[in-house]
Amino acid sequence: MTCEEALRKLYEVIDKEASEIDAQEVKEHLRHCRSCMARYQFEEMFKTFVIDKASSPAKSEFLKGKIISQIQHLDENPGSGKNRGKFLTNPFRFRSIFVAVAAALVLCVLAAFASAKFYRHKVFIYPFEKTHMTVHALYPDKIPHNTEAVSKFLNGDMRLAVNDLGNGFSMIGCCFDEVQGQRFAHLRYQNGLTHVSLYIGKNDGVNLPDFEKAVANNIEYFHRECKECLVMYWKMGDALVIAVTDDKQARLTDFLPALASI
Amino acid sequence: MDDRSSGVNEQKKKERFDKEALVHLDALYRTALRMTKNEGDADDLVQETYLKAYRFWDKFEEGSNCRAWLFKIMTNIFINNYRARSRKPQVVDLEDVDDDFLFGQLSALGPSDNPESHFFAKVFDDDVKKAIDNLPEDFRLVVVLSFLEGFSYQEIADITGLQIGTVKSRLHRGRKLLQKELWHYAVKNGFIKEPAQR
Repeated sequence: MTCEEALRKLYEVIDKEASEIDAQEVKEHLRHCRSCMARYQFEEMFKTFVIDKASSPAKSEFLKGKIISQIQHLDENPGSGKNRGKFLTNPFRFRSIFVAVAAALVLCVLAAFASAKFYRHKVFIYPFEKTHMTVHALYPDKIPHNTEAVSKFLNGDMRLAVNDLGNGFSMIGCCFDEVQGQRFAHLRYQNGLTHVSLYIGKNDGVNLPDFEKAVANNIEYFHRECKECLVMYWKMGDALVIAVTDDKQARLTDFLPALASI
Repeated sequence: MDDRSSGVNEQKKKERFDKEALVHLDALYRTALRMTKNEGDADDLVQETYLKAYRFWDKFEEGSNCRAWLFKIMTNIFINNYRARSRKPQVVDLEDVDDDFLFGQLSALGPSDNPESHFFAKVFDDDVKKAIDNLPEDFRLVVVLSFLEGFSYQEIADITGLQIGTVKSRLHRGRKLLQKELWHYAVKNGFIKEPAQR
């Protein structure tokens, strides 16, 4: 193992995330290499130092009492805002990993069925697929970046943010497109070779196709895999979100962080 | 179900919640403080987290990692409610942070007086917390979950919804930024004399 390789594994080893073989090889290298050893020792010392200085337990006894009395209150008034409580103004989006896995399985099974129904998608999917796949050809110089107008449209009408998706996807452009004659914001994201188009607009008046239904993170969504893309749509408050991606492994949960501000 | 048995169930639910969820209060509050950077917001954030957790307690799978579940709820609330308020584009200049910035600076001070221990001994608790607070939010969250809460890369990915590669790179950069921050702090306060440019 060279010094370069050893230093590449530096943090994984210190964070105890390296494989046993890697850790063993690094250890072997450190035995013979004083300069790498010094670096490792320093980084280890630094981590211990930060943990030592910053993780003193916070005093939260008072808070505990407050929480318990709030829970008590919740139980005494079970009807008060069961669905519309203060803490639920944002829809609750966490479900256990199992549900996500189950949703993924359902998605796979349904995807198999979907191929048989391929031709029914033409009316709805095709326009999306086309704009999605040809967006670079449509705008050869640069994808329009009309952030201000799009952001105004989303914040004014639907209170959504124009952000990076937070999962490696960053926004490369946004503009307006039409869906069945209605104005939709078209947000375009990229992560390496993968692209995602999100179309966001009002959810009334759009004629939606009968895709396969699935649920993830408490959100009901509809999806269909077609020739080049995976198309999904779901409703968020008064907004309709349509996601088109060339990554057919993508799941609804991938796109939620950026859309969470509704 | 009659009133009595539902009362008994509520009681059982509360006991389980107390035993499994409320024990993590200190840890959640510690991280909430670093996330929100002030006690009032941290209070609110932790309360909201627990109330949400209590409402959805039946969704929590017994035997799975309650601590990670709570942190995930808290991170979601934070990202949805708190971050949105002060969301500014984050401009992080990382070009000038070398991988071994702090190590290099300290080594350059010379081998004789053991500069590392000197540095580590001089910096106060509050200054380290302040340095963490000064990290850009994306990096701060990952650093706190890893360093202070000891979550694995995979757990952090599950909690934040980030991909594991992103977790790793943010943690890497977060470390560098933190070291740089602490170095400047130590120099500014005269704990360490800045050596000639290396």
